[in-house]
Amino acid sequence: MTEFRIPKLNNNDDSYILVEWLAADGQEVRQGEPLVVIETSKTAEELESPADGTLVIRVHSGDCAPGELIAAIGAAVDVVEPVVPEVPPLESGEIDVVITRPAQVLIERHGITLERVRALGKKVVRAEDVAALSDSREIVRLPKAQRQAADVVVLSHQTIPAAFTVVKANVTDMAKLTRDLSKHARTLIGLSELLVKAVADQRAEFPHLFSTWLGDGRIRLAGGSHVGVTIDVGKGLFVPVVRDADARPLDAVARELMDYRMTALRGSFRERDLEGANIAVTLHTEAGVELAVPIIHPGHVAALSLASTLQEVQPADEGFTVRQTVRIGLAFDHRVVNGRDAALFLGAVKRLLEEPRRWLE
Amino acid sequence: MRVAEHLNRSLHALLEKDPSVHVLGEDISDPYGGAFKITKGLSDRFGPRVMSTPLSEGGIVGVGAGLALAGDRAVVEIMFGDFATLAFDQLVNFAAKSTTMYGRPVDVPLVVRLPTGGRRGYGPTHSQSLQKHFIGVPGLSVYEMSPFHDAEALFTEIFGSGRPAVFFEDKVLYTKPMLSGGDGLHTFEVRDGWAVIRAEQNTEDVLVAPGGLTDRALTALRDLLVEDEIACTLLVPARLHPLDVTPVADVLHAARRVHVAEDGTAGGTWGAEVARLLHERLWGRLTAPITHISAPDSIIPTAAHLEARCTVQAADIRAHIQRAISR
Amino acid sequence: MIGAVRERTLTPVSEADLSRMLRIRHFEKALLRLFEQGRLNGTTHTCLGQEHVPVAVSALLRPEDHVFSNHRGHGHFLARYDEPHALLAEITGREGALCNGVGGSQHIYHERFLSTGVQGESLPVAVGVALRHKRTGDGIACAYIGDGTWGEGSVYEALNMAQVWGAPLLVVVEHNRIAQSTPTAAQMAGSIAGRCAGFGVAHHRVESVDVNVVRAELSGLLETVRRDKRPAVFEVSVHRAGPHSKGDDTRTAAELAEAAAGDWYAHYARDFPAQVAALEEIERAFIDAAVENVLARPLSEWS
Ligand SMILES: Cc1ncc(C[n+]2csc(CCOP(=O)(O)OP(=O)(O)O)c2C)c(N)n1
Ligand SMILES: [Mg+2]
Repeated sequence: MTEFRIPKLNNNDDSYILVEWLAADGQEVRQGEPLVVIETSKTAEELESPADGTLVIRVHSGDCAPGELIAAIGAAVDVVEPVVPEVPPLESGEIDVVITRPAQVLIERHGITLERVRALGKKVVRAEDVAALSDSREIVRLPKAQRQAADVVVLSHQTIPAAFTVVKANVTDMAKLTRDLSKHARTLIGLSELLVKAVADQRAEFPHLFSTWLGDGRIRLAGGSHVGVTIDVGKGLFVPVVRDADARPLDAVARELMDYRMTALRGSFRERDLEGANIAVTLHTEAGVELAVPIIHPGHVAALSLASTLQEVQPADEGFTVRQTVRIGLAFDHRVVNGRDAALFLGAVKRLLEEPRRWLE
Repeated sequence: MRVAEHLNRSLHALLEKDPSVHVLGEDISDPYGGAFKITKGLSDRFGPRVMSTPLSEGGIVGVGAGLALAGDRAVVEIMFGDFATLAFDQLVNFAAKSTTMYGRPVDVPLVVRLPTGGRRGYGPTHSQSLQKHFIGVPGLSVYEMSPFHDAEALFTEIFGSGRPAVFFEDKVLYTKPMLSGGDGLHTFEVRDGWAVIRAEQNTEDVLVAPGGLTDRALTALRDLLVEDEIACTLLVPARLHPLDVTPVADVLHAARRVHVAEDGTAGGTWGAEVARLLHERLWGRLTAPITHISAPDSIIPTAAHLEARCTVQAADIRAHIQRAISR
Repeated sequence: MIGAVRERTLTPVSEADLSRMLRIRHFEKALLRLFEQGRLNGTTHTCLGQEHVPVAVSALLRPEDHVFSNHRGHGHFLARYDEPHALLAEITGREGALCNGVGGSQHIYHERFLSTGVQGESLPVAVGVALRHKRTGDGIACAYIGDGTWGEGSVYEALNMAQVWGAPLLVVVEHNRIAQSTPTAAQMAGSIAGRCAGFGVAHHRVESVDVNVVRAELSGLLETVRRDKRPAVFEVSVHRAGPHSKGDDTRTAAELAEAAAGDWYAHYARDFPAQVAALEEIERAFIDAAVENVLARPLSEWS
């Protein structure tokens, strides 16, 4: 087989125009026979066949460059070109679909036929179009709330260098207290309510954990403890905000949380319910959850997690006792506070939960 | 049809239709027909209205201005655009100023054609792109030939405006075909002096470039789409200055990023002027400052391997746009 | 109008002069060959038919003199500096190039030799350099231009200043009766002599292809330039035996025949056939080897 390349026809042009073939594709041609008309910027030249044989045209018309392979001439049998899935050449005028390089890679990898690619009905086929073809499994679009959550967690991961500390609190004595408090306040006061209030009350001592990172080594301190609390009753994750939770009594905080749970069931949060938190408490109290690492909401410095209550057997003077514990985690922006602050903060919260009498004072 | 031939036919048509049109330039007569053969056949056909001149760039632009002032119309070819500097005084201080400095509008229907640009190995005094030196001259229009625009229409437009114009013609573009319709990937649309080249409506990226960059811009566009899956629209204005972007406002308003490419060297460029204009219009819409792609701040060397470094290549355009997007 | 050269017998030529003329000729022919083979980029203007002029002039120049050259400058350079490798490296962008391949054929600055591709541009510059020579008391500026370049206004501004200020400037005009494609008759009114007279600038014209005659006619004039510190124009009638640059000759067959007949080479080959043949062999081989040597070098570097 003889390669037929465009010779350099002059010194000025870096490309020529292939005007027409004088022999048909697949036709037998003889050496010296005029084969193709090439137009330079100055002339149109006929090039002759360099060999006898069957003409296999590679470039039909249009722009071509000196040295470019435009045809092969050889015995009819030996012109088997390596077959890659046919990509329409971009140069020619009559193509119907353009396949991008990334898309071409996927087409080859998944052995997708050109008919299926064409059936997409797109002029430009991109990798994402082919990816859809290569997998027959259903593609589902997530609900809006989850898509928003996705944006938030991505932003958090990208922008906040978080560290994490966890403490274990002994809440054995808590059960009775919460019962009493609930009865007294006529609303449910459980561990979650106590934790929200305990966290809110730390602002005076730990103002940085309620602040906002501004960049350049500056933070803006908060004007109140606005605690976001995660509520997920199966209708998506919401984080309503208990505003000024440090300034309000425990029963008011508890009542507001109860209202939020009802709102969540109805799925009718208003924008202002969800705005303005400066710290978050995330609840993971489903049975068996030992520990959870919360996401720090962009704009916050800290987020706490409350895991479920676990039974622990403990050796006692003679034999053993059973006690109730929970793990409370604190994720914090390490640019603003350090591990020591985190431990002190968690320690203070833990003390409030472990010594129920304080709540009655 | 090649751009060179198209220009040649346009001049033929111009001379044929309008007996007041004159063409002047060094070595433009037959059989030579000009250094780039743009004037081939003109002197044989139109005799004394086509004049080979002495080597006097300043002088012949002055003569062209004189003909124009007296009621004729003149096309002056400067053999290499670089030598427009020899006619700078005639252009700036006479032809352009005369349109207004006499207290009333004075028509100076004069086109000064400037074969321009590198990539042919002609060396520092025969390769530069001087467009930027003619931007913002009161009374002077700056045009650039593109493979999308009809040259006869442009010449007629210039004559009709009564303002003199410098008309840049990329020397490599001469050897390229005129383009219309599309290339299978992009559609080519011409509207009010602009060519709009795109594969999709309303792309987030828009490239503005004079006609001389067309081949490289198209290659960059194709590579961006096919290799990088970035769709970019190319806008080619025929009149570089004053620049009127209203005909392509829709394309620009859909853009998130605008890139401007040109062959001139860095510093005080046409592209900077375009960016100034567009920043004012598009400030709130763009997500990044306008990207500027020009030749480096350098003379254009002769040797091919050095020249390539000092002229804008398709790969430069693509790389700048990729970088702007990934910022 | 300058008529055809009517020489019949040439004076005996020195081996050095004839060698150099032949060396330049083969250098230029090699360039045209390389172009045809697509191995040269860009453009070039050969001085075929005019090689004897710079060979005649250069022998009279001193090391301290400055030479200004133009687009057709290979002979101007090679007659003064026997460095064909460096010039070829410049034209082909190879290591050892005179200007790192940046300037190429028509933009060369080497020691006291400078060329540029804008016609007429160098004349006012040469006046400035000549003024410096005048002050320091040694050397002159010598500028080569073509007949067509007399269209540029800068030529007249330079002549005027040179005469008014007494600048030691020698302008060598290689009058080949054509500029690119345009016959001089079609673009020059009057004559170079007449124009010089207008400025009171000394002018002398020689119509010989004999390198000795050209040199002898120049030497007196050049002496006045050196001694009296004033400009002079030395006009040599020549024929351009090759194309303007490459493949762009539109002259008629008769005009080409006339040019060929006016080529110094034809005269020397007729009058000194053995000497020409012997030296030609050497120079051809020398240039062929130089081409091979230079083209094998790595590309030039420039930062
Ligand atoms: C200012 C300027 N105008 C035009 C040219 C293009 N050009 C290069 S050489 C040439 C002709 C020069 O003629 P002449 O001075 O007679 O020199 P020759 O080529 O005959 O040696 C022209 C028009 C140029 N290099 N510079
Ligand atoms: Mg001449």
